[in-house]
Amino acid sequence: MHAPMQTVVDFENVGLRYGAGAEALTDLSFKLFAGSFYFLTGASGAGKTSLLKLLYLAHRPSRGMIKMFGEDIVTMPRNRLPGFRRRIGVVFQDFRLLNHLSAFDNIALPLRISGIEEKDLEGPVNELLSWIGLADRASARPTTLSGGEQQRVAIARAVIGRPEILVADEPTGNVDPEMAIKLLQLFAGLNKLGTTVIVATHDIHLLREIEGAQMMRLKDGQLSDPTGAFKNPATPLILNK
Amino acid sequence: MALKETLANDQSKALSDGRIAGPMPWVIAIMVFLTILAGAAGIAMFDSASQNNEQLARKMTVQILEEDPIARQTQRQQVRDYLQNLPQVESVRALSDEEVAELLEPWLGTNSNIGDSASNLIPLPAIIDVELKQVANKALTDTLLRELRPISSSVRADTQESWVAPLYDVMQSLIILILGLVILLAAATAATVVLAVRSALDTHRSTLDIMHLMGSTDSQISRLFQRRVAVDAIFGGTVGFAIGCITIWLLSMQISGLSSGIVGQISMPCYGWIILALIPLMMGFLSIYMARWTVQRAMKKIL
Repeated sequence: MHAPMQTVVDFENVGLRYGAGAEALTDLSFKLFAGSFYFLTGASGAGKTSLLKLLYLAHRPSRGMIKMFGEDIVTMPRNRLPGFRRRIGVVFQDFRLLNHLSAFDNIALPLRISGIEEKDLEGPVNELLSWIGLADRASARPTTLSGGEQQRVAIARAVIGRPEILVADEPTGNVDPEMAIKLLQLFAGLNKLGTTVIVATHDIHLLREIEGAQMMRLKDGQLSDPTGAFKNPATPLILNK
Repeated sequence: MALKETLANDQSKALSDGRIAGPMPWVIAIMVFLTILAGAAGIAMFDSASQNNEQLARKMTVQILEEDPIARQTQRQQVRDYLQNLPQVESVRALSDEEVAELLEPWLGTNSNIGDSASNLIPLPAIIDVELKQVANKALTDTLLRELRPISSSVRADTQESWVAPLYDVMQSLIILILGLVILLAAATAATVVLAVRSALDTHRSTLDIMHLMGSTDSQISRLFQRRVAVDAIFGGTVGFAIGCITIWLLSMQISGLSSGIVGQISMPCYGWIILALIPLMMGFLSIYMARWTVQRAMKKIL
């Protein structure tokens, strides 16, 4: 018998509309559980990025209820949102690194925002730089790094604060297959430490790389549950490799 | 909002350049310079007006319009002696005929027609300057005149207020105008900061979005801008203050060379320099406050 897992994200009849246009997301109802690994798939325009934006608190839904870490974030006053955002790591599809900062400073940014003292952030940042194989490029600006290196810096920046939820939008889109698998293993490592990981991807081959991962599929702004991702306990995408 | 907090922020690297916008420190310098000039003019005028007003309000001029020079001289002596013994009077000074002639010289010239010689056509009045212990009001003037009539039937008494009052009215209007000018300059500085910060917000929009999504609070983001505005304001304020002080010093040298009565007395009091020194500081705080207000207002528009 499985012990019930803690719900970290709870969507109930959520809809998202940009301006006066049609709904980008319609009637999404699901729960994500602590320490799980989810792949979010779907064709371009299916609403993956919109759903991720709701997950990393870039938007509030047009309707419905979203609970994160047990609190209703739809009605939450905006001055409380930064505290929640610090618990969520984000890897953007286009990296969104700050080009005027070095790789070190880009990775250190979330810790600085959290108010960590300079003397206390050097160790973790250097350790993470070594982990992603960029220890010797700490002072390099993003513009001098390759696409794969930039991707790794973006991932390091997302995970440096040990987030409870990691949201990644096409994190392997700009890297070769070998590097893609390596990055996914990095996510899996973080997942093993208890982080809930949500990876949006087109690449269905990646789905089989993570043991115990579950799949959410979006089509025309609506969610299907082909692998039982939303069940508790969820049905893993693959049981054993 | 502590200045220390504004100036010491570890996230300061997050924005790419050290300043909000190129010309802003120079705009602040010009605003501070103009405010210092306007402020100095206002303070000097206010000080001069209040000092002179107090002095002149206690002064009175007594004239004896006697044609006969011998009788005039006698009456002058008697009136002076009488006034000196009055308890309300602080001091009395009778002007000599030469001093009176000199006073009237701009209007009457150095013509030999004036004076007390036999051929003189224009007799001079006897003038006595009286400094009272209290403000020279009409009731006191009337009382004094009544008491002086038995000594001289042609005696007149004028308070200085009567001819100085219009001048001080003009000075007061100028002071109010200068105060308005200072407020307008402060408003223009605030508007400049708002525009510069808005432009900087647009420039750094992508950086701010990232920081926002990583959990930066509105205060953290506004501090980044406050820090840069503070740097610009310190630079601009220092330059504007220095140039302003040099200008005031040069002007005061020129003014002190003037012999004209009230204008020659205009000078910058010590407290005036302290107020002037506060102007760049006030402009700095205003700029920092406006930067904070602009950023927080902009940030509230996003989630």
